[in-house]
Amino acid sequence: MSASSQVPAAAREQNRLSAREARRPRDLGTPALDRASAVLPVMAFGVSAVALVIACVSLSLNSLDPYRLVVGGALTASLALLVLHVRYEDEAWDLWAIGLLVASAVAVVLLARLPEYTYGHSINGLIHRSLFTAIIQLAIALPTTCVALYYVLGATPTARDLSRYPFLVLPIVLSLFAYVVILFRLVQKGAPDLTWNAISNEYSSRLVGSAFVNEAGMRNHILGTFLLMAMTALIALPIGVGTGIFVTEHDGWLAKLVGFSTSMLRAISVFILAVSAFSLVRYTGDHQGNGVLSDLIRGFYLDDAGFKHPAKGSFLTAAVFLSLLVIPVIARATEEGLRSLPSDIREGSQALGATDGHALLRILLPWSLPNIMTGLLLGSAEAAGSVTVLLFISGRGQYGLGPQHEATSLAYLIFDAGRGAKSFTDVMGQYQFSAALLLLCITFSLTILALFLKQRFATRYRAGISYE
Amino acid sequence: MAGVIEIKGMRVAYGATEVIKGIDLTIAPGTVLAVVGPSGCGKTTLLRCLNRMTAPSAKISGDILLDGDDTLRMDPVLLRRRVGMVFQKPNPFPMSIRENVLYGVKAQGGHRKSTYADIVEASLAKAALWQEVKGRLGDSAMTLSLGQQQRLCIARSLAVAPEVILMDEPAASLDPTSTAELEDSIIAMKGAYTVVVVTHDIDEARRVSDHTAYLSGGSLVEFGETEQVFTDARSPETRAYLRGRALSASVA
Repeated sequence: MSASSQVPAAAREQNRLSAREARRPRDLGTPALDRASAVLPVMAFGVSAVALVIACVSLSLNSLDPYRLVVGGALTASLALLVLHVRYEDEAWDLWAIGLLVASAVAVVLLARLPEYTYGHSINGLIHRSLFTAIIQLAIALPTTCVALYYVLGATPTARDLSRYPFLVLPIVLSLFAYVVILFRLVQKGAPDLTWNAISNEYSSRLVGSAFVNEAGMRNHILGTFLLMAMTALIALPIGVGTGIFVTEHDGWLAKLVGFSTSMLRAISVFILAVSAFSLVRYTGDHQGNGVLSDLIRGFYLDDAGFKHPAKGSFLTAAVFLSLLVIPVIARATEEGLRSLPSDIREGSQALGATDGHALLRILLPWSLPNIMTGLLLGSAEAAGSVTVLLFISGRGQYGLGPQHEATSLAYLIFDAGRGAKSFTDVMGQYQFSAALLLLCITFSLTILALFLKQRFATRYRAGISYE
Repeated sequence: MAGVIEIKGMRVAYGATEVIKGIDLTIAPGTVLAVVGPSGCGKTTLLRCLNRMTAPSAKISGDILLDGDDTLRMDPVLLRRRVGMVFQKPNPFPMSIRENVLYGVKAQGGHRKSTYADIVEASLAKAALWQEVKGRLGDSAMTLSLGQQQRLCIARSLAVAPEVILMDEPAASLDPTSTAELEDSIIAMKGAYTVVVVTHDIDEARRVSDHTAYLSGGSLVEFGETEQVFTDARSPETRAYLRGRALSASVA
């Protein structure tokens, strides 16, 4: 009889556990850890992103300041803690970790001590203090992201890690807290102004006697948002689905090229799209803004006296550029849907003498519908919320809605009202938060609808076949 | 009667590897042919050549004639309308039972809508499924059991009135009861359709087929009436294969 079999089972189990205890610090370095509980790296990414977003948001929404102070400071501290924890586990307590801690401390102090506005001499105008802290937070977020990457690639903390070191959960809690604070602030400031009048009234600016009289209202912007979403969907859906089908169903260099271009389109900065849209609008049509091309691209409006004026950019132009954002989303969704169809079902259709076109209409597209719908709705939500393109080419749209009219949307209103907030004459200033809240509601309900429809269509068109 | 398949000097190669090395075979109309042989002998490739469902990389040479028509130069879509196929794993479409049966009919067109109900009933009856599903034709095909799904796939192929039905180990994923029901429906097809069944189950081949072909290493070693092949095969290799398999089956 060997020695090991004489030891009682319970004791052996105990030995095994303590042997694992002894190995623990090195476990973090092995790639074989349980990836299923890899909440932390994802959250660390999220946290870094949230820290940056808060810093940037606070640049434009300065009224978030006190909250940002708490949230930003706590986030920074928790990130530093996380980094230190990893360092400690690796028994490599070094200058890098200490540097991060110092940097985060500096960020917190700067956030707390700097005056809210700093008057620059070399730069004209004033600089908000979060501009400074944004840079420092970026500097902290970068290495933290690297640590998170390190987790993803190799050492993923297990559920056991999380239960043993509860403070690892802190970043998760804090980032949720950050969202709640932003949401709360939005509701608190936005809801009171969100009256029926504000929603149903039209923004207008009329000449009464010798003075302009402005009337506040968000109707143009709300309807504009929906028009923009509808037009974008109309353009993006056939092209996106077509691209997805082409990339999946064809081999060869052309399909590869199209697939590559679609992914690249996703990677293009929105800013570049916006500048392209702006240039297009600027340089088409003659200077008076006459001609069909100018009407289509720049848009036009008729003033109260019936004179035609060229606008800054039409709904059509805005929708075309926004659809460039949405097409890759839909194409990718279609591709995923088509690829998830079991190949034997495809063979079954071929064996019955069905043409590819028939299979596409009767099997492939119905099967991919849940994916396509989700892609479309999420893409539309993105189009509704995307402000960068509209920033350059849209206006307040007070002279009607239509493909050729001046583009406008809630996203633009948030920018526009924020810009006007400092001038006391602008009646739209107070609606900045209301518009943001409304936009959030629209995009949020689209997201919920997308999830619901995906579930619904999956039951209907996939008849309970699970897809991998 | 239609459904004569003549295979003349057929060779199939994937790149440099030749998987079928010259086969001559004539399948009489309205009969059931069982194709048996060890794994990798080219059974499935032979079967899939008959409706051109081979991988695009396969190079087929020789002639395969269906009622005298050269199938290798025919539009594969048109060929598959005459030659139906049932796969190893039941693969019903994610739609209702009725739509599954009508899929091929609608794909090929040319039928009046008023005949659809009759086609559904007749096809399901031929596949011995009508009695079980007649009350729930609108239900998803996924609600059926595996055996029922496989018979639905047979009904689906029969609905387009083909001359030939190919079956690639149709009972491979079925339980004994479902297998028996499937075999009954194959036997019921005799006379009306030419059936080619690839199978690993020697006993099944013996029960359902009129003729048996034994393939080995890409060549046709034995072909003849099923009873004759099973009782008095010419080739010693065929005898050994059939006996070995039959022996192990009787031991089990």
